[in-house]
Amino acid sequence: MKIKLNVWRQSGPKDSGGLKSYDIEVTEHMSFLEMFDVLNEQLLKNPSKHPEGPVAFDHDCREGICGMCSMVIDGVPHGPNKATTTCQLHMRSYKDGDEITVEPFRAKAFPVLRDLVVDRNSFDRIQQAGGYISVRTGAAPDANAIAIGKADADDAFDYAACIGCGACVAACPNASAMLFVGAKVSHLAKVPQGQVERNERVLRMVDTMDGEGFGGCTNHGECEASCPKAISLDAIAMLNSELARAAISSAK
Amino acid sequence: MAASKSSSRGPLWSSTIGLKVLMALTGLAMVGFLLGHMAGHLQVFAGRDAYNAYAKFLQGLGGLLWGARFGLLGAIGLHVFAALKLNSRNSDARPQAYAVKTNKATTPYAISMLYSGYTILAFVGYHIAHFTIGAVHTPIETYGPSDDLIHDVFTKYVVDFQNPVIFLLYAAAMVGIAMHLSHAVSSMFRTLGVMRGKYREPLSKVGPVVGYVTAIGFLIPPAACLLGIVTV
Amino acid sequence: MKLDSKVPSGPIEKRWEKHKFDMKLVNPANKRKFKILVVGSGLAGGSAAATLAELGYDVHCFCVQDSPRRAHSIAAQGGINAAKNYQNDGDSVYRLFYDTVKGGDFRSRESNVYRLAQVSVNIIDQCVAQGVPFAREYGGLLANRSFGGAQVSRTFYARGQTGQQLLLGAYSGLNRMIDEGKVKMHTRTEMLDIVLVDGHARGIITRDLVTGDIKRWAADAVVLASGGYGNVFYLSTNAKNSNVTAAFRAYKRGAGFANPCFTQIHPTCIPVSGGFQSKLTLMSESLRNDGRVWVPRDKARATDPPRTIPEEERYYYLEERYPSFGNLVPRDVASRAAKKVCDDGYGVAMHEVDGQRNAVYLDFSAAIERDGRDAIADRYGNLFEMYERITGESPYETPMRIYPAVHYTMGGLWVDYNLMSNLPGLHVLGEANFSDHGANRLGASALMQGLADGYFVIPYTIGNYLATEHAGPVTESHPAFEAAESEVRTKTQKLLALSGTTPVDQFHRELGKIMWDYCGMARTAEGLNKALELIPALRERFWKEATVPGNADELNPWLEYAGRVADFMEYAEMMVRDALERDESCGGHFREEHQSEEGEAVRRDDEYAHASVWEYQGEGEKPKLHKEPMKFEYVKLTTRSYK
Repeated sequence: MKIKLNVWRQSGPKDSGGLKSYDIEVTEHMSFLEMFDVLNEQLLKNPSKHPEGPVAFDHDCREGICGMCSMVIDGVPHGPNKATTTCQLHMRSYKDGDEITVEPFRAKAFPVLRDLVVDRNSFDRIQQAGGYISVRTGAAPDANAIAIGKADADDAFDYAACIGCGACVAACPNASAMLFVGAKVSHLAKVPQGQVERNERVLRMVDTMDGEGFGGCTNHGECEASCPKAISLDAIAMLNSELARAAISSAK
Repeated sequence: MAASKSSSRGPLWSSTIGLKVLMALTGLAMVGFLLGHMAGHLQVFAGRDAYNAYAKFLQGLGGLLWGARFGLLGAIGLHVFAALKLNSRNSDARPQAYAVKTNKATTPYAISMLYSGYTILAFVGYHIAHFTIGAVHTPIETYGPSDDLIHDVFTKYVVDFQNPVIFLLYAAAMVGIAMHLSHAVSSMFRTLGVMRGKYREPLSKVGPVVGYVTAIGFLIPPAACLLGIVTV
Repeated sequence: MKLDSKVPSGPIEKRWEKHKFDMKLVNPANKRKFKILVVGSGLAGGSAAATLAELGYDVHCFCVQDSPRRAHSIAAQGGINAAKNYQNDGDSVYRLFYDTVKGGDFRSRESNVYRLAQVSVNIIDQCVAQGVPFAREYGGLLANRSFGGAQVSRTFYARGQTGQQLLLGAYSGLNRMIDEGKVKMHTRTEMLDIVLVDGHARGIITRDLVTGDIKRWAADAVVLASGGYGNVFYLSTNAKNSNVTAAFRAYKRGAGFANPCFTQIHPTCIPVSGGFQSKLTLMSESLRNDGRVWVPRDKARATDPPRTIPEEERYYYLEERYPSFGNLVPRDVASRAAKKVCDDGYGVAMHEVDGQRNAVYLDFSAAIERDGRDAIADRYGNLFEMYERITGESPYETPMRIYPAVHYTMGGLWVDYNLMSNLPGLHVLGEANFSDHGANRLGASALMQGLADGYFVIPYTIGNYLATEHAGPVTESHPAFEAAESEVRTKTQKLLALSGTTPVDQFHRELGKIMWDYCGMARTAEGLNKALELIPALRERFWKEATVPGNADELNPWLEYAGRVADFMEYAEMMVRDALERDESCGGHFREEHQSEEGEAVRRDDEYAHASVWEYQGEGEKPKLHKEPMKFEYVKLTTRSYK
């Protein structure tokens, strides 16, 4: 089938960039990224016609877990399908003659490096601000020494399933990172091992989140709808309650 | 954890979450006032004397009334301040807009919060001029003994709302209130951290219910005046 | 090249303890003076960087991804083994050791494997303490499952994403150390050479993938944890950025490369659907616990809807051929069996590739009937969804179609018991070393080995190197750095000068096809010899016809990729040479010349019970073969049988 692609082209962080259109022939079994492979092959083979060169895009595992792929497809991060990463989106979700616009994740905290590639190190910095449990290697007690109820363990897992792709930020009208931070905070707040540093952790992570220039949450719910791992908005409620808890106990 | 690294970016209330909590708490106060205020207005149906007596009772509260007024104005002020601060942060957070942006989950209520908020703010000014000060439209007459003069707010109320233009102004404001609260009240529950797990579904419905009940509740007495059900 | 395994003497269960005591320690106050470079941030690299920093070393960690959390360890699905015996089903350190040596078809070092089994129990403790949300029972204790043909339930898991959860654990440890300023993390940074000073590994040369800056890093020791070489096949379950470059550059600087022909082909992957295919997706091996593998007995019915084929016309070939293990035979056995039925014309793939329908059914209808749809959804729901997203078919309604795919590589840089290569100071961890898996890795053992190496082995052994063999300080201005940097720059320019018309991708595909056809699941001397002709010819064409766009001083994914493919082209030749030289069948290495009448692998222990270690001899020269004999004192050399 034939697809018309409008792709954001930006040669570097300082370039202003713009959309450029390409026509491409695909099959329904291709993944969305494989379509870009085919497009890039076309662009590479004909440098005189395409001086802008192939399209740079982030990708790695191509099986929906590494969180590297990062396209906004027709205005939705990772495209139209529910709980699906761009790499798992297949062209059978489209039909002959469709026009698709592809842009990078847009946020002040995710500056564009080139074309569809953005810098997401701000997420790392948030996690470095206490998004961990301080345990020295070798200092751990037996794994079964502390029982964790299945319900809590399952909840913790649901939050831990976040792949850190940043789609929540890209989808949010405010470019807020609350779903991401909420998932991290909630995961560790739900397990007994995370209790000791619980308050300090949320205070520091929220502080870093704001410092990185992410927006605030105004409860649109776009993050949840675009999350490839279907992380629930409950993470945000949980983050709010964790911060309140920390504020109250640090005021004491 | 590296203990020395505590917050460095100002007080907690000025964080994005802190500002939202500020909005939620001030919003909560305003919604509480609105519901009480709405109940007061419904006394129009009890007739001129009862309604005017209610108004007089409120006036008689003196310091308490002024306390409530300043409290409310303060809440509005803080609410608007936090909203504008958050809004400017939020627009800074995405310096370049998408060429194509498709929303999958948000509601018209959520998207229009700023505008419904401005509508309400403008309305509050008008409403204070209209009834609290009584400076616009029909003047407020007085009657009764000179040592116990009664301000005839009832008549002003009925006569003014018989004017379709005034009624429509109020109706438009109530659409603003309905839309604002439909998002705001549920949003408040999430901001305060309670809207999750099994409470998520029910609390997500509370917003629209409160929004529409408030707006309709406020519009029933003026509508009764307009339709001639309540007369002078 | 001297291959001294440095295996301690004494009874096997005491060796690691004894060795830990015998090793020299670095004074705590001196540790901060030693700079250690860790290349790679997966389970092995991430856990090593975190732990070394905790000990007080000055650690720098490098990864090519935009975040250390994205290393390919993240994609592991099934689980991690540990000899905890929480299920009281007879597991023990000895049994895990035994199973791993036997599963590896007797081509691994007993002492290493025993240590791996010993520290496996500490890994689970460590991960739980970090908050890793393993599956639990209703009583709140950890759940286990049997995995990949093990007779005991020793596998810990976190739904279908154990790898991500373990990696996030290691990543959180790494973050803690970054937070404390003890690890400096360098993302989107690729190691392009290793620097030797007086024969010791004393630094690396890197390229910043965003700015293109080439930088020198001098240090006191280098730790490589850069993963495996599965992408030499182009189509594999590896991430697209997984590559052999770091390991191969070390090889070219004199590090021995052991058993490059040992490749694991995973039996349960989604089949190839067309020429555009960029990678293969693994479906967790745990599916074989409940899925039954079959093909129609009648070749003519290969394209009929599977539900229309009656029970008696289904050939459950694993259950019939291996009655005691059935669908749970080890990976190499299951993979070869699938290849055989497809080669014989029974394949059921939706798409024909090269005239064959390469797929078999993995059918859950019996399990759904027995346990109910909900129970199956609870166990495999996310995997079923993933399958449906990719293929458009629901495994609840119709059997999955699966086919083997390259998944893991057991070969790697040769290391001694201390995980140090023959180049002093160069330590190699995880999949990048020639590892503890011999010729075939058992399911749920890769995560175990990566974390064992990083958390519990290297933190001890690197101290011994620093305290005994290490020579004084070296700076980046040393001529060896100068020379290495200039070589890297030259190579970069050489790649950028490629101005043909063929995208690099195409050469990689061609290379992959050669490797899959002649050095894949079944190998013959004839095929391997053919590959030895084809690969250099392809390489020659690459340097003439390939095109690499852009510049050196910018984010240039095509330049990165071209460098990696260029290395794969050279690497492939060594791999084929090793496969040719190893004139036996063992584990993942199946030479058709050496099979029993029933088609099972036949080992030749008298001649090949060794690790083949290749030493680089210069551009265009045949590498030199060295052998480290594998002695089996505890696990008797027997023929593996899963009948």
